[in-house]
Amino acid sequence: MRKVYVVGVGFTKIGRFFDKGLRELFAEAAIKALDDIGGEKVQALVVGNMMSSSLGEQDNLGAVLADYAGLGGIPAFKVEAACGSGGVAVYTGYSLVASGLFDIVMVGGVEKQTEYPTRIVSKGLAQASDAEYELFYGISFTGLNALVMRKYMETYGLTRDEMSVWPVLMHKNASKNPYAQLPFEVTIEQVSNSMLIADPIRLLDSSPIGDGAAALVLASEKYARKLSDTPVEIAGVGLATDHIYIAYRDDLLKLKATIDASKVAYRMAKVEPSQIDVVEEHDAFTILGYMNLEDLGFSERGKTPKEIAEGRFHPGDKPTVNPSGGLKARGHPVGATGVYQVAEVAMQLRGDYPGVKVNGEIGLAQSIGGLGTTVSVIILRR
Amino acid sequence: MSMKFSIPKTWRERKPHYLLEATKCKNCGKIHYPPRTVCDKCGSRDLERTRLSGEGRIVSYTVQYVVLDGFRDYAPIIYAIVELKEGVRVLAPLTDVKPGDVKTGLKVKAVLRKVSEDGKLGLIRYAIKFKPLEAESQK
Repeated sequence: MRKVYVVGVGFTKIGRFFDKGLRELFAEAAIKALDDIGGEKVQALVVGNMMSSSLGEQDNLGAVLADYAGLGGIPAFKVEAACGSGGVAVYTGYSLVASGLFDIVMVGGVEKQTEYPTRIVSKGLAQASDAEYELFYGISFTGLNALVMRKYMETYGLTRDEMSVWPVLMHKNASKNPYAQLPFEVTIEQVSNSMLIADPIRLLDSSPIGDGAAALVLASEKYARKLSDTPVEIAGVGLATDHIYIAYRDDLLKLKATIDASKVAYRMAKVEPSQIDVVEEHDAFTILGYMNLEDLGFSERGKTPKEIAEGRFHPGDKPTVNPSGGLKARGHPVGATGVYQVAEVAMQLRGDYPGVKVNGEIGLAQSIGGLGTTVSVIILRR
Repeated sequence: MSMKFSIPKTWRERKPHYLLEATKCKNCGKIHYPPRTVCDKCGSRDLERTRLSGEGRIVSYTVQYVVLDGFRDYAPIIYAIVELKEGVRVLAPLTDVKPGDVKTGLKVKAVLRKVSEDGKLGLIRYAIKFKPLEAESQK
């Protein structure tokens, strides 16, 4: 396999954009990524997106976005793995370049959620779960995560306030992020007393509904130096899946797909968790923020909330976790999120990230589809 | 008449939903709920249908206040993962119980209940939900 590099990045601010649809949002991100490589042409487009079909009534998304981003009639297609679509799009784009099929590929991600009421968006998001045996009963995605959060708190004897440190750290990081959806700080009291959505998950445990688009340009070694002075290597990729019906899993307190995908990615990149400088992980809810760090090998089971309360994983620590503010506060434009993460980590390593900066050489991005049903782990190296 | 719920689909899934019908691997003995075509433990395709007891204990639960479209009349809905006597876990709503009376470890049994309806004249979906066993059976 050939080496693959991130040579261009671009993304939009995350928020409510009533004046922009899927096409306009994606074009904005794609133009930034193309400008980042000096206007060179890309040979193919892979797009991560979850709900263009269920919410936007738009299939054939690859062709639509390639056309409206001015990429001409190049090969283009969408990949879908629920909220993990973006990470799987990067995985797919990587494969296209590593295999030798193309030298320059754009990987995009886009999601448009805010033009529908929450009950409609929640239904779309809940389609990440088992349609016939979970969604059938009306359980939301928040409800499924709540089952795991209660189990975690009861197993490890953690209080509500002890769990609330995650959103506090994420909002603090996001307050310095110019493209975050929620760039303001919150307190433990605010988190612990926010509205109950699905007990024990409260409003401030949850990532917000937002619109956004991100784009990367990936290139083979031959083109990487031509297109960028600061190419960042994709040193390892891993992708794994698990039972969609969460009751079928032996252990609710770990996401086996994260463990499996990260093992492959670590081995491929020849690195240990202790060598990672910066992480962007998929904290769709507070509980996932903690479990992801445990599954990725950065902390011990049940101890992560207390470690974060003591300053572990904050800016300045190794690894720094979610300097963007994470899904919690940077925002979670579902199918685009995994692409944002890789763009953010690449910018950290090349030194032009606009928010909380991490000085380092190796970074990791983890993206989850469903409740750990599909997980991708991408390791980047300067 | 509204046709949001598919009649063939509802018919096809009636036994797992109404009777807690699972599959059992004739090679390794693993029980699968929902039913499967291939055993995920040993890879055997030789599976038979079996009915689960419906009795078990709550492993975890949530009280969902923000409910999806079509479930407003039932809010808040308590959902639980229940581990049945056979060791198989099932996710379903609880019924005939108040949120304050639910706790992990509570003994429950499966009962047939209405889950949702397709408007006033459309199909009604039924399936098992769990209700707590009487106080004397909780030991």
